[in-house]
Amino acid sequence: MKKCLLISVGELILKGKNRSLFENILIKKIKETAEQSGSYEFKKYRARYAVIAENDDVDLQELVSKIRNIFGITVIFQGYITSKDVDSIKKCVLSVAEKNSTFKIRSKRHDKSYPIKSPDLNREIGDFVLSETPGTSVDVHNPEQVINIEIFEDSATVFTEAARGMGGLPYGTAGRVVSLFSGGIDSPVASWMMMKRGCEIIPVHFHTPPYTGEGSLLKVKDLIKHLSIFAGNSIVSYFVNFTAVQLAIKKCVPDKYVTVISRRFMGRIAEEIARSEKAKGVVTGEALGQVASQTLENMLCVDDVFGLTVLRPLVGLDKEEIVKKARQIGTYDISIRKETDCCHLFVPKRPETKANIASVCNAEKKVVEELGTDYKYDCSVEKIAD
Amino acid sequence: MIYLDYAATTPVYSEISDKIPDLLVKYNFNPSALYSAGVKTREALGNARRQIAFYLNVSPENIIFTSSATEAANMVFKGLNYKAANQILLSNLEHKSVIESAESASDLGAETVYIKHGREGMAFEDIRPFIDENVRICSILLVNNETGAVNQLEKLAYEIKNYSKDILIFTDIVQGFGKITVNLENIDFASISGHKLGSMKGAGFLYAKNPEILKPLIVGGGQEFGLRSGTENVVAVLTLTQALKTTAKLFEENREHLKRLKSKMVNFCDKMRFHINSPDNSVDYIFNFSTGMLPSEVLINHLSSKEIYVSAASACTKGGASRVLKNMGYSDGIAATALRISLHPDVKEEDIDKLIHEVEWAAENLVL
Repeated sequence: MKKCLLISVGELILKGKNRSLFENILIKKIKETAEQSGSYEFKKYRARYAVIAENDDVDLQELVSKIRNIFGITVIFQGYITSKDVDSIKKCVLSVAEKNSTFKIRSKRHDKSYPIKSPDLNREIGDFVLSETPGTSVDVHNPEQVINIEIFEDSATVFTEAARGMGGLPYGTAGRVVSLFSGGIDSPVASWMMMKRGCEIIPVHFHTPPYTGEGSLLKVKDLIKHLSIFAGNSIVSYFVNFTAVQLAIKKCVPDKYVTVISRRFMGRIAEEIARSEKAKGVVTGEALGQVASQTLENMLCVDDVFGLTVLRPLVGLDKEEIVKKARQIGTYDISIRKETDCCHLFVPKRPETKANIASVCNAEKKVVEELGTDYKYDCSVEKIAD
Repeated sequence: MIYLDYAATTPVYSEISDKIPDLLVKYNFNPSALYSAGVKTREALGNARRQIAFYLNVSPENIIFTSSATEAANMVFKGLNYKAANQILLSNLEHKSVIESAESASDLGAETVYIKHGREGMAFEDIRPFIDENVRICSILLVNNETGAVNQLEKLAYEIKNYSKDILIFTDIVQGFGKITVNLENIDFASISGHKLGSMKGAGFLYAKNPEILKPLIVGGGQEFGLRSGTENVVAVLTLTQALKTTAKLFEENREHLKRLKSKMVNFCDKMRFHINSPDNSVDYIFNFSTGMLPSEVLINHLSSKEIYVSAASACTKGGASRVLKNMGYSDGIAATALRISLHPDVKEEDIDKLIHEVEWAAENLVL
């Protein structure tokens, strides 16, 4: 009898011929995570993966808390792998059964030659739990604990649910995207949602020193560091010094266009980075109508500068829903950290809500003249890891 | 790096930090212990107390070591009995450690009364109308931490006591201790922080003329004359006494130098037509001015990128500005564009020249 985790994958099983592509990445991630925590053997049991502890004194809970951050996993079960004889199974069941709770035994024979049929095994093990574990009673409809027993050709597993996974697809399987990344609540959530769908993200943060300070930059790096937990490795991040562009915009364009034109310039730079990084899309944290500048007209105006797919995973969410998600994934507390900056100096008093591409393009020409045609933005690249 | 934020904290002098490892070994014992090493540690603490008392011309038993000046202020305002008289008189230009601890004494029945006074500081005429039998304690700030304005502590304390002996007098001398003369003759309580002088953080003390009238906030082993229980931080206290010696000597020997540095700043502000927020009676080592056009945060960030470290009266948040400057009657435009330069004898004239150069550049290039 050995301690083990059994891992269920979600929609991965729906994949057809290229399933192994997704699976291999996921398995690699699970193996890497397990290896960091101790000595484990890895096995595949039908649609589940088993991570089997080499020795008994391991802390599986710690491993569960790490593995649950890997995208592509729906449920993590914790239990034992043992030989197929009933006594061994009973010994395992005794270890997982909780006192003073209602339970249900759910057996499954993958090895149809196993002499005891599933309903009989359910009954026998159920009776055993009732007699050996104090305070237990059976509830087949709404049990507090489901004890699963699965019989394979060479072994049996006994397990209960330990944690829900994040779902989604393994990180990186969908390709690479750049993410317009501020220090606010929305952009980390937008990035996370695309990461969940298998995208490898490259955050691009625009800062305007000295109008923004080092504290704001540190906050952004802390957010990316947090997201790197879900990525399972370091995240390549770009920090673009946007001051010259921002000042030129402030100087040359009517106040109401400052926001939309700033976003267009950010978009152009992000696209350039995306192409150099071979990224296929650009993620933004916009939600329709959340602020005056996030209207359909303005989005169209910003999209105009992109030759890549613009992904707006939050577009249909309310602020409350975004905040809830941010709390759930752990970015909220970092996002609301109050870092003083003077960004508001660049925010127009009355931003244009229905920007017209033609007028915006006209206004923008002066900015390009001001910057000079050979203008090249300053930028630093960092690999950020937890 | 050009450090011009000594009022926030003075970096530990290297002659002190070099000795800390040895001190940690030598005085690594509980001063209450009876064996030789404990006795020696106790002796070292006693000597430190005597040295500080000697410097302030008070008795050692009136010095109660704390973790900070904030703790010392809390010990006073939350340790007093407000049954017979319950008013706390204070200025709204005081440091937050005083304002917040005085305000929190409302739980004990105390009432805070703010005295309005001119930008130069308090005068007895400002205080007198508020004095009656309900006043328990009056707080007089020695040196304002944002502007450097100095109150005539000795004179005011004398006048208040002369008017009514029953009124207790508290003073926050954090920004003046070791740097200018302080006379505690008519003072009942004073709060002091060590790290402003260049000691380790986590050391400060309360001067209390009659400690017995305070109810201790922290009880336990009865250390610090029963007023502040908890094993004493002997090494931090030893660094405090050393920092006091060094500071007192440096400031005494460099008064003219500091004056020159300040006058450089004054001339620069006059030339640039910046507003000087520090009144004429301010100390030479704290200088506050406003550009009137560049938010404090922008200027601080720019200077920081040039490795020049200064601070604002407060951070530039949307619509936010220095509480002290606003309470002095200055507009938002002045309060939100203020910069505080706090000096030390180690600051060179070239450092101020570099600062001036960068501020001038910022005023020309960063204003939107």
